[in-house]
Amino acid sequence: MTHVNQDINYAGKCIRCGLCMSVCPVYQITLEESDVARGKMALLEWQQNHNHITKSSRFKESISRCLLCGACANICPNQVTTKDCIQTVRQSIGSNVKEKIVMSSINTFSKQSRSGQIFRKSSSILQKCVGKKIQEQSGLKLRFPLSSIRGRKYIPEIHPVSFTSQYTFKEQSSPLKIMYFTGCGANYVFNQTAQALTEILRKMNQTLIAPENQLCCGLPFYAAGDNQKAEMLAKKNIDIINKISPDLILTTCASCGAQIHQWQKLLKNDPDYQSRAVTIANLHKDATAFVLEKKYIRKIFSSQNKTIQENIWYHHPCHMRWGQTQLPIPKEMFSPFDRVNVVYSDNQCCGNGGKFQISHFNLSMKIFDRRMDLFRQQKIDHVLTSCTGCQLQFLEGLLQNDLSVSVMHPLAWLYQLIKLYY
Amino acid sequence: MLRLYSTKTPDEHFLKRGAYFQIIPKEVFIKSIHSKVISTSLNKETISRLRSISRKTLTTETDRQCYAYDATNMQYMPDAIVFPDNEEQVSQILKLANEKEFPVVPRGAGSGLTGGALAVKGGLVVVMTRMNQILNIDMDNLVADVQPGVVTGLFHQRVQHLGFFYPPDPSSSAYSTLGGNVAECAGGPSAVKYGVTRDYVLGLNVVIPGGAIIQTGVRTAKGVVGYDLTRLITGSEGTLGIITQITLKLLPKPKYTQTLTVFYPSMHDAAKNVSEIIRQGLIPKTIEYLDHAAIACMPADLPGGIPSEAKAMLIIEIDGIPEQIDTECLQIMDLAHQYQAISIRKAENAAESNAIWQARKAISPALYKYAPDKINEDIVVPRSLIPDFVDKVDELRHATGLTMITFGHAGDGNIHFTVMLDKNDANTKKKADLVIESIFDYTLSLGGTLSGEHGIGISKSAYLEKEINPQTLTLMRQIKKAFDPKGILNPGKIFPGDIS
Repeated sequence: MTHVNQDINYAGKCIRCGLCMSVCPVYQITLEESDVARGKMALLEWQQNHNHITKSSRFKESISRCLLCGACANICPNQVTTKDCIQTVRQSIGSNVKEKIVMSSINTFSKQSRSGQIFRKSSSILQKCVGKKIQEQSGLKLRFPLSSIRGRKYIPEIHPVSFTSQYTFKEQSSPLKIMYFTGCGANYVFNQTAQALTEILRKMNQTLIAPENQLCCGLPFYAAGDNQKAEMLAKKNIDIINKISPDLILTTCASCGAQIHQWQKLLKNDPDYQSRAVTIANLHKDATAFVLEKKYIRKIFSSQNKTIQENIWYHHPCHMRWGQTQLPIPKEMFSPFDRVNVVYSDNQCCGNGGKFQISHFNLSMKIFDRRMDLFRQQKIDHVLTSCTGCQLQFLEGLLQNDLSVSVMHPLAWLYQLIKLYY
Repeated sequence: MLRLYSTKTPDEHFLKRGAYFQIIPKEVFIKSIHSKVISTSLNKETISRLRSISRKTLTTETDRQCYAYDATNMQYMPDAIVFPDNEEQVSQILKLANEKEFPVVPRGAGSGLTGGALAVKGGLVVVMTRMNQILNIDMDNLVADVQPGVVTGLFHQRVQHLGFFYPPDPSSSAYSTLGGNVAECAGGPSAVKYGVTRDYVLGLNVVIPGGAIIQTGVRTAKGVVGYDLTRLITGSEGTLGIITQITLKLLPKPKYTQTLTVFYPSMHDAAKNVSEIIRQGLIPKTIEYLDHAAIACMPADLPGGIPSEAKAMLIIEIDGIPEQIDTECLQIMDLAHQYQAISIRKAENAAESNAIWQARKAISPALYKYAPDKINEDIVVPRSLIPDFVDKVDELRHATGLTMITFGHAGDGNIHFTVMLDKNDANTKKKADLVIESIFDYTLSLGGTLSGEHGIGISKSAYLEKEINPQTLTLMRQIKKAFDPKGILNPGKIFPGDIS
């Protein structure tokens, strides 16, 4: 009789079965082993066996060609967390020059300090000066990129004044003390998302606290392998959150949400911060999920709406598709609208992957384009997705395809309708 | 050494800064590493000529490491990798290889289980994944023309969408390629009713060493003109030529399928039940069986649950028109009762049968919870003799104390016999080798065969002479020589003694 020995766990060892090839967005474009999880695991194990770390450019390239979408870990029969291995290796091999420049701009950009303000202000002014020379196309403000990155059509319009610096709340009327962790996206670029959430919550008789001094969640740095920076940001954020001691923390960006859950792993060498990070992760909830949970949509659209006729493309961000922050697709949100047709079939990473889109722009666009055949058939009016990275990717990708479609957070879409009717 | 795996979760391994490269001792992973470069044949000049044939030619160490393995998890470093885009390029590559005499190893998705895609003598790996177009689906004659790099699962989806059915469905179908399936003659669970890849290959375009492009077979249901080279090349494991186009036969899609799960108090009852089902003229699409060790790898939330006293399980799937399915279902359930079934359950909907098949496909990888290494043999015995085989396995299990699991396609007698072990434990390894040897001998004594669907490759070449007599083997070598006089194509595979 054979017994399963529960004490021994051989999980985590890649057996090269190849199942990851069936889901890897990068491999499915390039069809090369060095791009898929088992190839990367083979490279890492090889180096481990021979006890040396190659820093050859080809090896670095292979390591950089991962979206960290997590699709491979989700399907892996042996629970190999390639995503975490890649992150660790990125730590030890560092970034190339182009990536360094981008990372340091993100760094400055997300600072609350004076240098951050100056940076944002100046990029906004520069955008306006240079951007004006370019005609507006397809209804979306086309800003000519100031960076050296060629082929790009979309550059986000940066608000010199962040959302949190404008936001004030007067009275604390709600029973729940809710903190809004805006993330850089809603704070500096997609202000409409932040406004939508605050307004919707106001209507639900809930007030939000959105501290101005909150910082970047740290994911861009973590993904690039800069753990030091990511740890620093996590600690500062934890301090800020603890000062407020909220009952609930809401995010409107799936990636920020996922990073909040990552803090505890990141801070494992600091037991004090780690335990605080665990508590904070337990307080976290996605804003859309919160609104749905409170049955607010049913309250406000109590009868079926037959007038709004729209085609929606819903993209579920990877950070909501699996992992600790896994959430079901918010189909409930669209149920009051009889004539809103939602396409849910977009089930692969959009190709953004943060730094990935910067270092591998063409590849990233090819990954994005996999959905375009279906997209074009549908006459889509809005793309809805609750992740800053995905939103940016759709804005860029759709422009590359000469399509003019609005891209927004599901709550921003909802708020538009609420404004229209109430 | 094992403790290193057991005490930490993978996350802990990898998240510790910089610790990745020190934690696991190197002996654990090393299988067999041949990093020797045969620079004499694949020198700079040859590489640049390869580049002029296909721009996608890779030679960096990183790329070579990534094409050193397949699903056997053994490692042999190739010297270069090339990705041809068309038949003409494949022809030029083989012409050059014949001229310069370097080994050429054709490769699809690298998901084979006997080492068919491993560059055991170095040389050039020819990756066919870029030739991945479905060229034509003839809806009137139910024939499809495809390139070898088409992923089997995507082909399934495409033909199903058109109302057709391509039955071969190896466990790896979500990522394996049709070219690889043909080269290895892949099988799958539906072989009992629908046969294997071989039964669906009507014709092939093949480039043989020297660069000649041959066309074999027909596009019709019948055809007896000349020798049947199609059947010869199907399952030849890339030793005779590189497949560049495949003509496949399709079937109309069966209207309905019904999945049944049946549990038995002993393997014996289950095995006897299988023989009886077929003897009575009921041919289900699939009869899969699992022994108690494999059942332990099924998820607890399997639809209908798993009875605690179950020692064997059958998954039976019937397809056809509804009335016929209902009658057959009743007959099968009746028979199962006669063979002491503990529980019999019809899947209530598509989601349930999906969950059952997911659980079945997950067994093979899930076996790693028993031990870090796996020896997997896919022997076939005549269906009626499965009970004898099961007894033999029990006997060996008692005698050696090794962890042995049997599961597989009971309907066609194809059994996945698996030993889980730690290969670093020399004593266990030796015992396992002896067990495999006696399993093979016993299989042949029952009138069975050594491999049903995985092929010989390098994993089983040492045992080939057990099954094939010297005269036949000599003829096979002569055939190989006729196709490949210089022995450049996938050297070291199938034939015993060639690998040294």
